[in-house]
Amino acid sequence: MSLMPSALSCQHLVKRYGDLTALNRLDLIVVPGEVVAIVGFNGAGKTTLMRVALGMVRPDAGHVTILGADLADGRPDWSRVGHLVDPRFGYPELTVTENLYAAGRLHGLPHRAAQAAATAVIERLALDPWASRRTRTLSQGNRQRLGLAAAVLHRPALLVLDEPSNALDPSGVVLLRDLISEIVAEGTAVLVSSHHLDEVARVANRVSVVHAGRVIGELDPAGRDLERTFFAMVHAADANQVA
Amino acid sequence: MHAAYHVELLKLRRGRVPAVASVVVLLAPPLLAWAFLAAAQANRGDPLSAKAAAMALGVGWAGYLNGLTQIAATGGFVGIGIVVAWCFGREFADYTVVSLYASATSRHTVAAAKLVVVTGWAAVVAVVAAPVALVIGLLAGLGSPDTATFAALGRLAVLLAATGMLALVVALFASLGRGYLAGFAGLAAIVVAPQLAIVAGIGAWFPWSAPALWAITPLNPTLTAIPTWHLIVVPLTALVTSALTLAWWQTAELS
Repeated sequence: MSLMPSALSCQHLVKRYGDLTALNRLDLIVVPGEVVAIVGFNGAGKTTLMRVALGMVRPDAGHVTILGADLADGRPDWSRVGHLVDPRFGYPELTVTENLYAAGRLHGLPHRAAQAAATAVIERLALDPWASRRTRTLSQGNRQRLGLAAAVLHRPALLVLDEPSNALDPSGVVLLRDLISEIVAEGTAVLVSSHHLDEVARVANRVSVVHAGRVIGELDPAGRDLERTFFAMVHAADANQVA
Repeated sequence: MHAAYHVELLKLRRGRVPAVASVVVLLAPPLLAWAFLAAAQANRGDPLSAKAAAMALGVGWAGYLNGLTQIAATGGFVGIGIVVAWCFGREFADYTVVSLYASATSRHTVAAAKLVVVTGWAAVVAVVAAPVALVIGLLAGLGSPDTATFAALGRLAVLLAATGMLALVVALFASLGRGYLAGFAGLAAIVVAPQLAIVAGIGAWFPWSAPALWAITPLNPTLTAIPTWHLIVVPLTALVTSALTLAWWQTAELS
């Protein structure tokens, strides 16, 4: 692991919902210029981890540091953070362009910069045919592209994406992959979750396996038969738990 | 700060709910008042005529404005309250609230912009309501308006502007309940509450009835007038409900 200062650091995170422990002393670090993918079953804790990391829900214990600022102590510089943790992004009555302009403004961009960023990201994510369409008329896949566009249009230093390719068609998946490569080359730290092992292996520098609220190990993105290794890791964790 | 106001204004301009509510709040009370006046004067023995006659609204401009102000007091609150419920509740119903977290513009700032923008919209509707009511009265053939007519139209505008501030409580209900339905439920409760307050004898001081009584009593000489300074409860109530709403938005976690 790099000795660079982390863009995102999660230490000993615990989050409980009643008798369900969603995060169980989870540790994770993402440094600038790398893509960390988290994989795991439904309910493993991936989305909860992202929500806690982004200050959407408070942890019961543990610390989150974002771009050098402690989430609990002060206000991180959110203008340098982008995220898509719910694919249903966008105000239905606004057009694609208006939604992206609004996102740019709320990310802290001035009027003209927000307009320029909206235009640029529409072109980058091939949303041109729908630029003037109201968001309520978009397909699920294009709505997800819109959400991705809103997450990256201000060129964040930390990008958090929860299953960003779920509703995308094959061309959208390729666009997403290229976009992540491009933004990481600029030094952005990316945390991405997915169910698709082969897909994350293509973009991630590190792949962390999350199971029962903990990181139980890492997969080698260049390794063979990731699926078999993943299941072996999960079964071993379950066996240890029982023992 | 400026960005949040810009974005909220954009959403208000593009939304169907504020557009429909504007038309309904501006047109429904004067048209209904006109219908009641015409029904009372025609006295055909149908249920509407009987009800209109029983309301004893009066005749001419005074009768029209009496009916209009009474209808606008409740109808205006419902119309404006629906827009407030939409403005806040839609963030949860449309799942857009997620994008308001981890944002350079704080949720507190976004909520403040919503409160200011809906209050401003209601103030614009209030100002436009007076000339609209005047035109419909003229179209109804009520004759030349006198000084008392203009005074009543001024009170109507103040009543609707006050309603805009009082309806901010719906934002708190929609936020706490995370959606439109909680906002609508709170709205329904607040529509009923003034009737109970008036029956209990505290209507002149109850925030959600004082402006209506202040506007209506000069048109009904048998009723005791409410001093204008009683309207101080309106901004005070708006400040308290706004502060509670802002505090909620500042601290609430994503559900």
